[in-house]
This record gives sequence, structure tokens and C-alpha cells, in this order.
Amino acid sequence: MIELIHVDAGYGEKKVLKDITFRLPKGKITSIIGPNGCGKTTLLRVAARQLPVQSGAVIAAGRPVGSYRRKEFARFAALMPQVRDIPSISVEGLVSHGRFPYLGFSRKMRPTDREKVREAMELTEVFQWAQREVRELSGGERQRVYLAMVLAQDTEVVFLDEPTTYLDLRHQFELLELIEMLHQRGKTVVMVLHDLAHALRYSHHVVLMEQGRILAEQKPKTLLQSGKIDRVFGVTSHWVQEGDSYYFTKAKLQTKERSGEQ
Amino acid sequence: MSISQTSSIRKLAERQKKSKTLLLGGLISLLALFSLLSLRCGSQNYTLGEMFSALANGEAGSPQWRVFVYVRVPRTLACILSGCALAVAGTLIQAVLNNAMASPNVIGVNSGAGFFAMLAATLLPQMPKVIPAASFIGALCTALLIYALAVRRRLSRTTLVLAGVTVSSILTAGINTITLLFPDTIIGASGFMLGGFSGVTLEKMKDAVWYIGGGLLLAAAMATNLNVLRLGEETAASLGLNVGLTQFLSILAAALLAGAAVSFSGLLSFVGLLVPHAARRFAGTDQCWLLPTAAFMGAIFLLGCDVLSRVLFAPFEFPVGIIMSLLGGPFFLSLLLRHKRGKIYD
Repeated sequence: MIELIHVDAGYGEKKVLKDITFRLPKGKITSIIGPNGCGKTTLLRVAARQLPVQSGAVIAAGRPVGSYRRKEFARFAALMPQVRDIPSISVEGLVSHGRFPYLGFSRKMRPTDREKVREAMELTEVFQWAQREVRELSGGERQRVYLAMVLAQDTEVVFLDEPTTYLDLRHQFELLELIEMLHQRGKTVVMVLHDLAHALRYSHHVVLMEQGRILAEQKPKTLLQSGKIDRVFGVTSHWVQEGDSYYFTKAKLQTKERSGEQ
Repeated sequence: MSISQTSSIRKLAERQKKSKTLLLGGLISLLALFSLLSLRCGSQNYTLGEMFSALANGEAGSPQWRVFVYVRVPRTLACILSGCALAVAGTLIQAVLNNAMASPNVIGVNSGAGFFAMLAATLLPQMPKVIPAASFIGALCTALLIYALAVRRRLSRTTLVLAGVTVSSILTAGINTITLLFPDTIIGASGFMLGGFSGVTLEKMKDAVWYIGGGLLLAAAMATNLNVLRLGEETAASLGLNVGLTQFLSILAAALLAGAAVSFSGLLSFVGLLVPHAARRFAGTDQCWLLPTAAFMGAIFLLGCDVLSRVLFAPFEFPVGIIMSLLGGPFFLSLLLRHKRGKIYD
């Protein structure tokens, strides 16, 4: 599984991640939460081999990620980035790209590739749109199509960067159920989530970040009870638990702690 | 998922594939037709039959034979090669820069090629063989400069086009300076700026053919990679695509194509912008279809314009560049206006 050892990373001179050591729990859903700009997406990109580290090491299945060839790694882990150009392409065309890391030199899809694409479209229930333009679909439907592509990529690990952002409530839950399904199919899922209630409800493991460091990583309930979430976000929140869901009912801003930072 | 639904989706996909095959078939027939027209039309009113029989009977000295072999064939080939090359170069550049406003002409690749070709022709007048090479180097340098600006400085699409137009006008000023200082360079200067095929010979094209062949092969090899790239650089990289290499090789192919075309046909302006757009309308954004469609359409468009340039005011020849703009301009405008607002920037 993927492991980060004393990792510093960032863009150019800027250091976004500072001395991160973290081991990804295998076969679980892990959510990364934290305030804006704390390095959640950077952590995801480093673990997904999309951003080289400044120092430290990233190990995937016992090997440094640098020793993988590009397509070899793409058969091990998939990343669904948040901001995307939506090209003019059919749903089936897009999902088929998930098979790119498996294609040989001739770049031809074999019957097994087509089977994987069909299966991915059926599991995410986008098959009925196979020949539709991705652009014609709504935001939530598009997200499902992209998830189908990730599924067609058939990897052990799946990274998702804010998969539910900008979606309406129904589509948020649809997508989270699909992510749950990925987990049931044995995949290790890591996602950046903004919605705390979703993160606590749908993940087995929550990573709380603050200013480029990991402050805590625990089971959702333990983390919530520790009060660390409140401290990082600078609020005093009230929450209730109902079944396995958490609701944040009220939050008071803590002004003292934040003012020192500004 | 019901079986009937599955099969109807299959059928739809097959129908689309069939219509694309049909499109390519149609384009090939059109190309053949226009090639024959181009072989037939010109200031000497010989019929194809006359010329073919002169050829078949080996009347090497006859005027029919000479017109056919020294004028019509080179000219037809030049139109096909240059139209095909510039259209594919434009398609590649638009894909790599993810910018529908870009074309070899707009971002200065053509004028870079022209400037270097002109320089070579002036400095080494005894060595006409270096012209295609110089032209290619000029095209590559300009293309890489624009690409570096786009990637390293993260210029917006509009800024990039403005930068390209600026680079292009600097290089054009360079070309004008050379033609002013050395009016006797072997490249006919006035014809070179407008672009055209009136003085073209097989000798001039001989080396350029290799560059175009290489460029087309490289473009074909890049088609699937460019398809993945259109999902955005980050998604493409996470699918295991070597984004930088794909972009570099595509730019290299575009430079080979545009440079070679410019070396014998001058600064033809419109093909590289107009044809990729027209081709996208018919073939969509799948590069495996788009690239060949653009190649054929470019060849057909240039052949058609060149034939018109020869017959409109026969026996006088009208510059093909003017015809191209007069014909292509309104067509391109209508294409732009048919798009919904903003959609052209796809």
C-alpha cells in the first residue's frame, strides 16, 4: 500500500507539505479534511505520483513510486482531479480512456478492455448515456461518468479530489454510495472532502490537516470527540449523532486563535 | 440493462462509425476529382486525353508532355502536400495548446519557417537543398517558443494568441527586410509572402516530401495520446500518459509539416486555421478521425482554390492566397457564428 515517509512537497520554492509521514490503510475509505489551503490536494497529488516530492519518499506496494513506469503506476492507482476540461466526447469514449494504461503499442482495445468499460458503465449506471455527449450531462451525471472511467482503470487504489463539490444533495449521496461500492469491491479509496458530515459518515479513517501537516488521523468518531476538528477550523461546533450519521447543528467562531495568524 | 437497450446503443455506435467511414470515402473521391481538375486546368487548354496519350506514347518533347510533367503534375502534388501538411499541423497545434484560435500561421510558425528559408536562400544561394531544413528549424524554434510561453508562463489562451501574432509580425518584418536588401533571392519574394504554387517544381519539393512524410507518421503515432490529452493534463497524467513528451512530439510533427509546406508554397495563411475547424465539424474531436479528415480537406481545399486561381482570369493567374481568403473567410465566419457563444474555444 502507499506510504509517505518524511515528505516535503510543494510548487517551485513554495513548501506546501511539511514532513508528512503517513501510511494509507488498505481496503478502507480514507478522507482528508482541513481548512482551505492546508495542502489536502497536494497530499493527494503526491500520493498519486502526480507531484514529485522535494524531500522524503513515497513508497507504493514496497517500491518507491519513482521506480514505476507511468502506465504501470496508472494500473495501480487512479486519480480523479477536481478541475477538469470537459472535452467534446461521448460517455463511452470517455470511459474507454480508463483503459489507456492497459493498451499495447497499437493502442487497440481488446475484448477484455471493452468488457471492463461496459461493466464500469453499468455499475455507475451511466450505460444508458453511452453515446451521449458528456457535456450535455449535468454536473452530478458527469461526476458519475468520470467515476466510471476511474472504475474502468481497474486499480487497487482510487484517489478522488472533492468528488461531491458543486453537486446537489441527491447527486452527492448518489456519488458517495458509488464510492461505498468501490470500497465493497475491495478498493482502497482516498478522497479530499469539504463536507465534514460526509467525511465522518462515509469514511473509516479521517486525516485532519493543518498548514501542511497532519494533525491527527483517527476513526471518525474518535477524531470528532477529541475536539481537534474544532480547533483546526477555529469554531466551537455542536453535533449530534443519529445512527452512523453526524449532524453539525451550530457553530460559534473562535475569534481569538485566528486573529494571531492574520 | 435490457438487451434491447444494449443492442440499440451498439447500433448507434456502429452507425456513427459507418458515417465516418463514409465521410472519409467521400473525401477520397473528392480528392481524386479535384486532382484530375487540377491536372486538366491551366493556361494551356490541353485535354487530359491529349496529355495522357502524349505521356503513353513517350512523346517526351511535345508541348503536351512538357506541360503535364513540368507544370501540372508538380503543381497538383504541391497543392495536395501543402494542404495536407498545413491542415494537420494546424490540428496538432490546436490540440497541444488546447486553443482553437491557434494555427501555424497565427502563432508565427509559418513566418518562422519563412524567415529561416529566406535567410538560407540569401546566405547560401548555391545550396537550395538547405531550404527545407532551414524552414523546418525556423518552424520548430517558433513553435517551441510559443509552447514554452504557454506552459512555463501559463499564458491564457487569448494572451498566447496575441504573443503569437506579435512573434509572427516580428518575423514577417525580418522577411520583408531580407527581400528589401536582397531582392534577387532565389525564392520569388512577392509570391512567397502571399503563398502560391506558380513556380513550383518537383526539384523544389523533393526534400520537403520526406519531412511531410515523417511529420504525418509522427502525427498518426500521436493520435491516441492526443485523445487522452484532451481530458486535461492532470487526468491524462493520471492515466499514465507522458504529457510532456506527447506535447513535444506533436509540436515536432507540426513543425516538420508546416516547415516543409512553407519551403515550397510560401506563407499560405488560412489553411491551418480554417481546415481544422471545418474538419472538427464533420469528424468530431477524436484525433484518429480528425487528423485524416483534416489532411484530406486541406488538400481538397487548396486544390480547389488553386484551380480557381488558374481558370478565373485565364490565361492570367490570380494569387491563390487571395482566393483562399475570399472563399474561406466567409465560410469560416459562418462556422464561427453557427457555434453557440463561447463554444468555439473548445
